[in-house]
Amino acid sequence: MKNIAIKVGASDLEPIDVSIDPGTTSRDILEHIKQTKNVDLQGYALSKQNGAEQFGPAENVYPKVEDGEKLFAFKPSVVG
Amino acid sequence: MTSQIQQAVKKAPEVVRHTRAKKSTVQKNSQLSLVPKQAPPVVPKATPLPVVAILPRAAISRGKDPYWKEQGWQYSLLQSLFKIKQVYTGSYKTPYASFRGEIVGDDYFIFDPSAEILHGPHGACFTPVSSDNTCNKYKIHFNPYPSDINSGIASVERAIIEIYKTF
Repeated sequence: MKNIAIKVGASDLEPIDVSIDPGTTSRDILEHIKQTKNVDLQGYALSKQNGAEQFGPAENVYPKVEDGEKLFAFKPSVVG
Repeated sequence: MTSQIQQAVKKAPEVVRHTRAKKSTVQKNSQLSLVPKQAPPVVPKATPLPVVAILPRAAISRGKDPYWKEQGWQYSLLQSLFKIKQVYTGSYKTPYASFRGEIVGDDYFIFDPSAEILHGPHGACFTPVSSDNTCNKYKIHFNPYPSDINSGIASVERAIIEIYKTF
């Protein structure tokens, strides 16, 4: 199990702590936050800081994050 | 009779007069004591323990700033007044490179982009703001367009990483 923090990029709220097990997807995390914290992040995507990896909804987040890492939730947009 | 009286006198108890012992004699007697005097045991002074204040643990609160602030961008009030639009200045930071940027209203700009950016897979998304482009300022195009500046900054940073990974 890994503990990570989710920061909603556009808000000035404190990051939300979540614990994830192997196989946890980005969608699972956002759904968990909606159910437990009543923060609806539908349409958001999780990504790392400084433009690093953005996770797809069905992507397994567990192997790509470190214990204690902070991820950001953004509404996706693409340079193009 | 006289002999009886003489015997009685003989049997009479002797009177012993008790006299107070003089101080000098007491001292002499004490000096003669067989048990040698011992110095009182030296009790080591207790060394005081260091005082350590046990305070309740206070966790350092995590940053609550939105992404643009966390990435070091600044809101330019003066420029915002002149341009009548929200103006933010900062830089797009990635592990590969960082580029100075500006956000004016809904328009995103990048200054002095590298050749990799201009000729890479996203090259068409960066257009010079003027024909001579003396300030080397390029406008950034999005599809879909970012809903807020946090999303926009992160998207540009992600695009820069993608570009550098292809080289």
